[in-house]
Amino acid sequence: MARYILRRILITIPTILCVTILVFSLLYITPGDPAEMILGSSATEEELASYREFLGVDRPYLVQLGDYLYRLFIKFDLGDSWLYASRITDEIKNRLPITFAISMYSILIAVATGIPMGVYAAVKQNGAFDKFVLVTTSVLHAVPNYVFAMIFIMVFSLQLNWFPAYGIGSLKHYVLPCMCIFISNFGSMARSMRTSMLEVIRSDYVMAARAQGFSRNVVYFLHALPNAMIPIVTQLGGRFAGALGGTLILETIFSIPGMGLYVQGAISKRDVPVILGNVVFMSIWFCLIMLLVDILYAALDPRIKAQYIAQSAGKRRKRS
Amino acid sequence: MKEKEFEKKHDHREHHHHDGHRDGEFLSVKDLTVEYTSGKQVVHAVNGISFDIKRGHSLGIVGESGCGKSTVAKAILRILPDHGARIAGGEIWYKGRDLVSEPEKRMEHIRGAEISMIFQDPMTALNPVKKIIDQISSVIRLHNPGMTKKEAEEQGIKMLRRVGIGEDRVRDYPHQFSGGMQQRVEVAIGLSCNPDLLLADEPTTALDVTIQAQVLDLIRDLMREKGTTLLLITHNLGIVAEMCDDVAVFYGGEIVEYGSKREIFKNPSHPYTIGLFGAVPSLTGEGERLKPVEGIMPDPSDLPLGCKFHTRCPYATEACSEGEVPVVQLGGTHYCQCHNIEAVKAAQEKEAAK
Repeated sequence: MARYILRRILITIPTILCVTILVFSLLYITPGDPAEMILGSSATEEELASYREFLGVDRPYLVQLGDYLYRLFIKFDLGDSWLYASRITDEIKNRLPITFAISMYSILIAVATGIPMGVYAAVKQNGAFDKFVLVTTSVLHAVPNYVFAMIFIMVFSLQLNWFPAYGIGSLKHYVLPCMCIFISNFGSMARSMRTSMLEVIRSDYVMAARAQGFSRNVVYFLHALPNAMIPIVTQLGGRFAGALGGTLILETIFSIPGMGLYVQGAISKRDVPVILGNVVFMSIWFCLIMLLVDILYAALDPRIKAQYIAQSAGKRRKRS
Repeated sequence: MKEKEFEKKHDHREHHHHDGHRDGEFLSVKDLTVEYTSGKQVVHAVNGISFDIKRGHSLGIVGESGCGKSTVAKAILRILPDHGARIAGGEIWYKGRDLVSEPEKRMEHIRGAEISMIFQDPMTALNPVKKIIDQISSVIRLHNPGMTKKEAEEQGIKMLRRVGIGEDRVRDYPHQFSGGMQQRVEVAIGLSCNPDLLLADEPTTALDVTIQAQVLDLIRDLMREKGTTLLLITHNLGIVAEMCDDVAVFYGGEIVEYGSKREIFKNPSHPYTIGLFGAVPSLTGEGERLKPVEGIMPDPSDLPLGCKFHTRCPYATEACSEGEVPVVQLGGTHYCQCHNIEAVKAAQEKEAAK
């Protein structure tokens, strides 16, 4: 297992490096002169040139790239915004906890409710509860979360005045945005859990466990559930990984000063270092979560680990 | 133990007194009917079959795939799928109790301990995320609640060694074994609690021929050792010849011919049984072409009236397509469900004389 984890980490490093270089290069080749954009069309050629030098964008591509990588991986610094005086790293440090809290609360609640509901629906397939789950989850899954955001604001803040409609501060501020993200996660979570569980329940080894005398509940929860959880873990990983970017629209609607609003502002003002910094940060976050998921995956399913070890063994044999 | 002794004696007495009577037999299935429903469609998988197995004997159920053979085994253990499958009628008498109406809790004690089952495909019948030793010892512990985990593991290792799996492999996962080794594990789990009855559903179909013989030998040795009764489900007449005392030929959810192995192999009387033998290569009939049974199994949701086989039967007459088909006793324990036994016999003899 230790070897598997080590190999998996070693693969993550070049992945992160490649993503960083790719994103940097993409933003480098996008047209437009930042100096002109910031200073306006009235600035003289001299002013523009000195400003370009100040931003460091007059240097050759490779120098800029090398500088960026050096600052990122050695000094853990994502650089400075072109428009504001704040450092990107500090800004992310301030904003990350808000976005993180919103997405983690809602995903965790979705997991805590969606998974048991999916399992129960599968166990009682075609029963009333199953049908209820199928209908509600399809509706919840199909309606985009900003629609719910609008409805919630109208009902719970404007009409009932229970929760604030914008900003962040007390715990109350978290309720509405969390509910919106929860709803979109819950539907798909319950549905895929149900599907996965049904598939496992129909498998031979579950019938074999029943034939060996295990009671229905023991078979469902100790024999079927661990197998049914395997695809769910992958899906969950994707959700945690995508969580930081997924709140963009909701942060805009609820005016929450999180990561989403930060990126959105930077994109609309073409603040390239901020966009770059955010994309790179999220890529690294994504890679790390996926690393975690893969390790968890191997722990859950011995076949994955075996496959991995066999593959790398095969490669080694070929080389020698 | 005393109970078992008593039943053995009891069984003996029954034997001498009346042949063919079903009361007091070890396993006696009467008029068993199983249906699957999906939507409005009703699939008649098993249609009123009856058979007995005496303690320590073995019965082979032979038939094409899709004829409802496996359903019989699942019905005996009552592990038919929860949704859409039901035992629509009949009785399954096992040691004086009707398993059809037995409470679920009782069935849980019977399953795996008194009656166990070996499945067709070992690749899918073992839990992929559990170590072999855990899979076998959890079953042993389930049925021997007094045992510690360690004792159960030791018992499991002993059983696995008995089927040829060394102690160095017991902590492996199923995917690390070949199909043959996996089926050995299945056999070990199936026999780990010394069951009185073993249901083997195509236990060697998924294995290649050399391994087939090994697994069958293993099942036979263990059964002889422990006096286990066997219900073997297969499409392979060769395996029946090797393993079974009695044979039930299954077609369209019915038993169309039943008898001792000798009776069936010497004197196959139902056109379908004759067809099955025609489809097996023989060493004596030189250069003869194999004769497959023409046509395909009728759709079990839309079975023909009358004899289920008449749509494929070369000897079918008008009477075959309507009404009940009589069951004719041909002697001893030999029964055949056919209108035209005489005519079929005559046609067979004519062909043989050619």
